[in-house]
Amino acid sequence: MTRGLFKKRKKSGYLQVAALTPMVDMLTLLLLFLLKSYSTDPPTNTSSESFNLPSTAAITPLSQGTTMVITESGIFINDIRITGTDQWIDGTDTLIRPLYDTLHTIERSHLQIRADADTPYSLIRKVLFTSESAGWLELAIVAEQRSSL
Amino acid sequence: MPSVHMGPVQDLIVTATDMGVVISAAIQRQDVRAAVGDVEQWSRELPPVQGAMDLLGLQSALRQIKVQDPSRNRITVAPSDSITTGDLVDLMDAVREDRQGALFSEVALEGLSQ
Repeated sequence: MTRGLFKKRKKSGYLQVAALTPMVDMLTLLLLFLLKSYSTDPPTNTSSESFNLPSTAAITPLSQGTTMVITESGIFINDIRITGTDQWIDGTDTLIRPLYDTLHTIERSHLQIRADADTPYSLIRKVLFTSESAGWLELAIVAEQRSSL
Repeated sequence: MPSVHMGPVQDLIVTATDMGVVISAAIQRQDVRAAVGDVEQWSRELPPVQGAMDLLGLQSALRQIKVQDPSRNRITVAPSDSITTGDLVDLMDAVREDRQGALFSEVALEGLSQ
């Protein structure tokens, strides 16, 4: 009786194949997930605790388009960091070359510029000039509606 | 303020710096001694009030220009490099309208193509 309980079952080739199938499925799903979530792009963290949009009394609906975010830590387009800001605020170059090169690769549409309220105009001026030079002519500086605060 | 003999406004620029706001206008002369096309340059400085731009003073001066030339809607804003985006947006809001209504709704930023 005891021997019967711990008696080894006879190996069956059919059962082994059947048990492997869900494992292969899971492995494939895991591989797909890893491939989709892995990216070599630089960090895309544009959120900052100190980021504040300027406020406005004007009411102009936003058009769909490409979004540029300017924070203390850098200039981002569609959440991808393009360049830092310090060297462009203090530098003498009017054209921001990395930004120009990136804007050249994107299909032109409306460009919404979301800049921190404390961003100096020296940087905004260069961003606007660079965007215009890259062929982006529909530019908007985004502000938060005062009544919505 | 521009004299009562002044006509249409040709150029209207608001310059903003740390030292305050300056309104500059080129206004056509219409007095009896003026030749056709005579333009008079007019400007007014508004020093900061409690460390901030004197936006109420700016609106008051712009309202008088608007009364003189109601058809003009265009104004150029020329911020200095040290002006922040927040201040720029406040300035653009101030020149667009005041409590009495619309002032200059077409706001252009100076120096984009330079």
